[in-house]
Amino acid sequence: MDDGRLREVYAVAYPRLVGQLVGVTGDPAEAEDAVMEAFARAAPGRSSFHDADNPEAWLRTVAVNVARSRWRRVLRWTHLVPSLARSEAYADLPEDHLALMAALRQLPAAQREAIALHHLADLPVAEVAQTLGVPEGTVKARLSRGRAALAELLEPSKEDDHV
Amino acid sequence: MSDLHELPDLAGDVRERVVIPPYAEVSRRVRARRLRGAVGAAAAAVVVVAGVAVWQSVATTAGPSVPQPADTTQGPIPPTDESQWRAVVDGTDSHPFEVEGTDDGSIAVVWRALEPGAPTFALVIREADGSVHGMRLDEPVSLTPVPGGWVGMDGAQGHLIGSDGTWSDLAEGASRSPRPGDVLVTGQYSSWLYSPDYQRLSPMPELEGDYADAYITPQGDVITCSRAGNTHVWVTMRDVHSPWVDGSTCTMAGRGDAVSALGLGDEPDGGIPLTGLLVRSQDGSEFRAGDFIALSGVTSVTITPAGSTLVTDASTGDSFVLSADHTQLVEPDRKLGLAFVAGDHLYATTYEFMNGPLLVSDDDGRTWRETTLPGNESKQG
Repeated sequence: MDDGRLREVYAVAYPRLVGQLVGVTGDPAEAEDAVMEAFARAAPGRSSFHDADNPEAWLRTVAVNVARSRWRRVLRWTHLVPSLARSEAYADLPEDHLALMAALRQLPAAQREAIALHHLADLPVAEVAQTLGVPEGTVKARLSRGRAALAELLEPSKEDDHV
Repeated sequence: MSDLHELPDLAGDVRERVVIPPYAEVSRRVRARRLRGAVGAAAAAVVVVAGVAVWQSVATTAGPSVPQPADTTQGPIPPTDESQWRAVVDGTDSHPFEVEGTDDGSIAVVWRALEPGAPTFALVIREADGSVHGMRLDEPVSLTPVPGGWVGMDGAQGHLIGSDGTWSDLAEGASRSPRPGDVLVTGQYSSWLYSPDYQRLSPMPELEGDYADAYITPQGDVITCSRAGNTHVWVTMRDVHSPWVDGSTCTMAGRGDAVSALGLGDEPDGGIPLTGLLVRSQDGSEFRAGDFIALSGVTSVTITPAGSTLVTDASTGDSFVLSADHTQLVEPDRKLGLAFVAGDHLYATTYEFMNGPLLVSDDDGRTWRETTLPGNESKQG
């Protein structure tokens, strides 16, 4: 049992992971929930976390998996703890951020995850591949399709800005 | 694509706004996960219909569909101008968050829309005669079918939601032993017995063993599924015990005297695969391992009106039906989401919790046809 290690990682990595996950979920509150759930799964007794060379990468992978499953989101409302996210904290996000999240939510999940982790969280393609559990070539293909789709989705809002 | 080089620093701006919760919140969630294993079903969407056979005579009255005056403690649904709940049903990426049927054929849907900033929720009920009632919710509720409606849990607060659109807070009494007709209601941290006769919640009494889920038979007997270490689960009723099957935890479903329990894995990456199935013999004398398809996840387990066991994985749409006599394992003719029973009909949502048609089966889950999800009536045709 190494609660101290998890506490250290928590203090440093929690905000960073939430930032990385927000593009995956398209919603800051859900990103916080997924990250918190990942930490709960890393708690003592989860040996795979404590054996991990890169604890943050382990947490990110779990958080992405949690975010993927809508059932998980249903689950928390009935048998898990209440959501920790405080939406008010994000109420002042700029309009272009909200437009980006709205556009991300319209992408297929696979493309959204790749775009979010590579272009928004600045992770190298290799690390994105590791997080998502797919080959690098697959990530590149998803990035290519996702970029095209996202550009199209964001286009109208840009036009609006010029009006 | 040059457009993406100009993306705003969403990750950075969100990171700066994050208020790190105290580490105690992690511990709290860990405890809740353990409690979930100890007192609740591992599958929240599991449809547990206790003692339906004795409920069928309970009559409900069709309520008015017009908006009613506000009353947060007793009476009709609070003012719910149709535009309020419609804004959620028709909102951004709206989808059914939870769906449940009840004994009179009514169906309730908790809708969620992913609006910027925070998701929004609404409850829409459609009665068997087609009457629709709706209300916007501040927070989602979990739904457990009870005679004439549902018990909705919002945290530890229980509400009785009538299929005619009424909503009232439920009082909580002292802990007591299960009685015939009781329904088990699972909440975030604990479980309750709901008495249809008295319309009250009572804390579930402490049970022996490391049990993960329970079912109350129409006769008031408690059937539990328990963990044997971290690798096996089993079912117990009085002095009747099942064999062990694989599972880190388990969940149950029942309808009248038919009962099934699922052994579930608990993968570190968040996966909860189906690892075992226990079924109750038709004469009720024993439990035995049943055939199953090893689904990679479990969203719902439902005892159909014919007594078969339907298990679904809404993430993949995969599912199977084990016949009431436990001799036939059938794969439905299309992908399914969350399954449930309303009246004598078997339903399932579109898989992946997408906003799609509601599916209904007339042949015990083999084939499915499309109908309309409550809330989507105006989009029909």
